[in-house]
Amino acid sequence: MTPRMFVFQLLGVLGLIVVLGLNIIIMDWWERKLIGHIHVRPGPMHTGFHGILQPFADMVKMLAKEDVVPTEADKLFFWAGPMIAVVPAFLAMVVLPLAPGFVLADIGHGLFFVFAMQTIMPFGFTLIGWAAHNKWSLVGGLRSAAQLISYEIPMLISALAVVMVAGSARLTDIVDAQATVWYVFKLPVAFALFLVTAVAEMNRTPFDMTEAESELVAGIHTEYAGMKFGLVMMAEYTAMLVGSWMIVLLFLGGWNLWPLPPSPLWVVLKVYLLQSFIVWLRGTYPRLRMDRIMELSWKYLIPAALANLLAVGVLVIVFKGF
Amino acid sequence: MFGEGLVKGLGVTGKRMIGRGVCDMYPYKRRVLPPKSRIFLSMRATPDGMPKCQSCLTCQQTCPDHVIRIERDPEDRKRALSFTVDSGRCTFCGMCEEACPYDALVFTQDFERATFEKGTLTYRLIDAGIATESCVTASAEEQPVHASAEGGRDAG
Repeated sequence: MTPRMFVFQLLGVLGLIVVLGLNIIIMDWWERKLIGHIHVRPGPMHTGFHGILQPFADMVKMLAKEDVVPTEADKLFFWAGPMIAVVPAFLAMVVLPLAPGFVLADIGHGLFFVFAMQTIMPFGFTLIGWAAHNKWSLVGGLRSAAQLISYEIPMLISALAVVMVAGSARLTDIVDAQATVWYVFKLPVAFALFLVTAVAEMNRTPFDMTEAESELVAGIHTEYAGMKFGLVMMAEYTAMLVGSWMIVLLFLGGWNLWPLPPSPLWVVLKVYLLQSFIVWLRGTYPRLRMDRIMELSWKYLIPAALANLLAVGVLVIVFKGF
Repeated sequence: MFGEGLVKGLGVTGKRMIGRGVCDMYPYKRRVLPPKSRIFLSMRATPDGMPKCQSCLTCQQTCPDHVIRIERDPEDRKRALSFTVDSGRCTFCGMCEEACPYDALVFTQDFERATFEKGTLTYRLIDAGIATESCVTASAEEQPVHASAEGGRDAG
């Protein structure tokens, strides 16, 4: 690696950290606003123009709060848990491209790298739940483990259909293959499956069993306060960003918006539209029961994803490239 | 069936999301109350601080909840030394206002009188024979309270 490349990549990593922070600032405000309007109320209005400074007020509040650690808590993992949750989400962003060539590491199996990183996240959430020594946290953490592991399977299988049609697991290749027709039109079943499982992977309502405030107080972040709570929230928002970004790259054409010329702007636009849609889902649907969530995954989504994979495989062989 | 309800639900919340809200932006904008709303019991007074109350005790006897307590001047029977209102007991029935033969009592629309303690709900309209600042002077009464929909506590 030449020194110049090293500097470039270092700057890229710093840029990713900035993207992560900006995303949290934007989504924190935007989610409150959207949910507020769904509830027919204006959302934050007091801090700045239409509450635009609310995320900064939140940040100051979190930094100023006392950092409470329960006496019985496992000090090491109480501290490390949020980081184990947030770092993989951040690492997954390393392979996500914004434009052709505009990516930190364009590896040949980028899709699977993202999945591998997402596999670590439930480990972090389970540790958070266990380390706090609180029954609500523990139940939330265990639910998170069960749910995230169950939904990874249909998610990966439905993504495999895309890999088969594109003929590559490199994310830039997958996006380039959608120059005219997006995969959401070619593979609507895979898209629907991926969307549902991605929402479950992000721990968003209707699948937010880790938090489940109506039954588990606040789930895994019951005992967290101050900036550690901020880190847990950061992990959740980053997971949402990574999940939406994946959907945009795999199914919504990435930087292609035919007939307009490809541009990184389309990726940003689509990611935020998708995140708004996920917030909209949160404002609409009630939370599923835990056993129903597991049932949905094992009884319906996994067979459906397998059947879809088989059908797409047959189509790819019969029509040579689909 | 087949997720029809899911789409329908998204439609309902989507309409709400785009449509107009119903909230009153309270501290910035005040709602124009109906003209006959009875909220804060007050007394009419002349600009030089003399209350219109003639200390006839009609309101005190009319009040079903014993909200009003009047202390009469022993030397001048037409002068009240103090006029105390325990608004924590008031049901805002308006009978005192109706009963007053001198048209001294008046319900204003000032609703920002919330307090943190029960004791501070009791206030005086006349203290030592002089109208307190809770009274309505004749000049202030000419303009209906909160009719401008903005502005601070111009009543009382």
